[in-house]
Amino acid sequence: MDQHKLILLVNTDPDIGEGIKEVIIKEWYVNEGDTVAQFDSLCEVQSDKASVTITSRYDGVVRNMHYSVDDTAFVGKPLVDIEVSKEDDSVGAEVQEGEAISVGRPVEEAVMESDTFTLPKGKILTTPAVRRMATQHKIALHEVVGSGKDGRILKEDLLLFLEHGKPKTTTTTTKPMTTTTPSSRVPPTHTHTDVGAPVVGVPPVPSPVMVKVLGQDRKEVIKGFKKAMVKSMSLAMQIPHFGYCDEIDVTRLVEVKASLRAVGEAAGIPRMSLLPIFIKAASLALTHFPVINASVDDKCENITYKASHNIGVAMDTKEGLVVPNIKGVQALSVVEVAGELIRLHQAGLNATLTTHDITAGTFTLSNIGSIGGTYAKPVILPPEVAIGAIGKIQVLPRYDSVGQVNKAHIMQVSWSADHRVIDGATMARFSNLWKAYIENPVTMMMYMK
Amino acid sequence: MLSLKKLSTNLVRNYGPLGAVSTSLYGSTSQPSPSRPRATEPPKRVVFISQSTDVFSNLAFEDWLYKNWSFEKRSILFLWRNSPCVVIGRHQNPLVEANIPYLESAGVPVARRGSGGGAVYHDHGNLNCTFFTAKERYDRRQNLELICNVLNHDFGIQARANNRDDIVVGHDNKVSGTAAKLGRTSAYHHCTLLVRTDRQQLRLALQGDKTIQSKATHSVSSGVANLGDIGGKDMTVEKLLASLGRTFLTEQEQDPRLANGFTLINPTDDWFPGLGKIEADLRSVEWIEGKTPRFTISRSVSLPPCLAGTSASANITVQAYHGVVEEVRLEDGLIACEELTDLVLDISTSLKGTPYTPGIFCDISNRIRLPQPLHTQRSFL
Repeated sequence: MDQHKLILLVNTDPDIGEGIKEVIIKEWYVNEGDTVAQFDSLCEVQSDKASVTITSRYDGVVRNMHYSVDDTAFVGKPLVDIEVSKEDDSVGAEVQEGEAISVGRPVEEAVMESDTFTLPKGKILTTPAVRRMATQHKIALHEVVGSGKDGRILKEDLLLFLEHGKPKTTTTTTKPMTTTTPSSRVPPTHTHTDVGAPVVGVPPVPSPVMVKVLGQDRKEVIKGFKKAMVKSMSLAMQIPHFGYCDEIDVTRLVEVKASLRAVGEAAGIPRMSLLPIFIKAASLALTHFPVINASVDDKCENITYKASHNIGVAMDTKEGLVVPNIKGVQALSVVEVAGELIRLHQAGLNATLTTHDITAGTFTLSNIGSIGGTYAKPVILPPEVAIGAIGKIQVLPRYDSVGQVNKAHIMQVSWSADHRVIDGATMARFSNLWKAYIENPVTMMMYMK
Repeated sequence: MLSLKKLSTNLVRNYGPLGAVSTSLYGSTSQPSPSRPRATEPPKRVVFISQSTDVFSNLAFEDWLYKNWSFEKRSILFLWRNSPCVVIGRHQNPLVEANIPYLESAGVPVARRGSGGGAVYHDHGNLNCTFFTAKERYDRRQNLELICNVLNHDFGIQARANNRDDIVVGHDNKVSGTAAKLGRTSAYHHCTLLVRTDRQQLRLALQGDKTIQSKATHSVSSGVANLGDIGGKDMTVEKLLASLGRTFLTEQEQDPRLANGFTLINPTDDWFPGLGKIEADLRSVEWIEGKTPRFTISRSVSLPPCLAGTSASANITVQAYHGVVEEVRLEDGLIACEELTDLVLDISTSLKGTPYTPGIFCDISNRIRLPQPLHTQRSFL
């Protein structure tokens, strides 16, 4: 790429002709890396009593800014470098819609889906020559496993098929090509956890999937949701995470679950769970610790304390994991939060989540306990700075305040936070506050806004 | 782009490196050629007189003219007066320059203008003049000399412009302050003229909080005088206005037909589309407070017994940027107990991002006294 580097010189103000050789930079209107057009304002400088707006002579990209605000700049010396190139530099890749962040998988690695798959009907990729050959030999193309790019059926595949006959299990499973989800995934209805009882409907053991031996490795281009996840995971792992876990005694909440449900029904929320309460409690706690609801830019140079608590909830959908968020939880009642959760859940089921739903989140909670597991190590979703994973509620024996062993409903929470901007003490205090609200719902009621 | 590169090499070749430096000036001009005298015809001169005394409308009109008109072929003198108000410079801190609590209680507005320089107080006894020209014709000295000539000839006042571009009379008593704004193609220079201003109000209004630390432009205060006191009772704002306008129009001794006469201006959005938006921006908090450069202000706050260590009070510093709190901290070197340190840290976290108000120290003081809602355990780290 042919690049010219041109230098913008400080304006020699005719006013300054009387011997003043310096100006003070008062404000920059651009940042390094910004694209500017000719005549765009670059900065404001002050010389004695004159405030001067310096504009760009060229189209290009701002590179080296030689001075910061309040520095003294010298007339005749370079002020800012503007890079002018023949071709446009392409800006970094766009983040795709539907970016999904995985919650750390508890315990073992997720069972990888088998390599077997069949192209859904009507989406057979192949060449006309192969099609001709298939017709000749009376082969139903949808029964053939393609080993070419994107699952293309090659001539070799047809030959293999003719040799070995139809593979046993391929016709039974049709799955979209690009998704790899743990086969132990729970149908999305269990994003809301049922307290106390083990989650219904989850097969305790992943159903055995027959693996057809292809005889050769299969290479696949990562794209779509998986690609988005690769990108966001790679980004996320640049954040120095630290974890903080704790145990919450939710006995009191469980005790009032029946009345919670009743009020929920009356308000139009079927089968109200505890998740909306956890979310609201998080928002109440965030009010006291705004740094946890903040957002940092890529290079961690600026931190924005977000006013709105847009709490994301990890959801398992057909396409994989997505994290839609509930906007403005600080202004919502628990019932309203529950209603939003239902709406988002439905949208997730129907694949109708909008960009608005899945962007602008400021904090995330993942209810991995609905699938199983206790402690986790969740991965933060940039540009957020913290995430919490709520484990399963188990009934365990615990000592109470008078030394008696009682049945207690225990739930674990695992927080991960960005150690560049959040320290251990802050996270601990935030967790304690959240825990206090949940362990004793009356406190939450007293401080509810 | 290629041609510009060639051009600069040509300049270096023909004029030497210095030539390239001085001629490729005006980061703002589109013309790569060295500066040369403009077209031979001098610009037409026009005088505008504002019919409004609202500082925001007038400042908005000034800005509107600067942004929307071309001054290649004409130069404008805009004359305006305001009801009592304080106007601070572009990069100043209103808290430092003006007595905000006093002005708020008196209902006197504080405005921030687009040009640099210091803070001034306006009232009906003050006349503002703005000279609009194309950037190449910007010449502060020339404008000030015109004003001094008018004062000398028409009112018999011996006035002169000093090296700070203030107009002074007698022993350096200031009767006018100057500020300017330069852009890519246009520029304006404006100044005040004290004729019959209430000097006591002026002094009270401009008594800002000097304990604030910042790099904002500081005003340089000087003794002021009213022209009306020196020129006798014939000296009024109206007369000065008329004299200035007339002289501006006829000064170049050119064809009197070129002089357009005075034009009365009503600075409203109906007449000048887009002016409404500029005015709204000038009134906005984002502009008036939001352009305040970073500053810190420290106050002593008394501590309740449970938090007091070696002394019963502590110096607390609030740091703000663009009118919004950045940090609240204890003074360096103070030996404080852990609770106090934690408390101040909590206060800082919760006040961060909120707008700075002079009442913030009251707020901080209250919070230091009140117990925290849920006492956090002292963490062992």
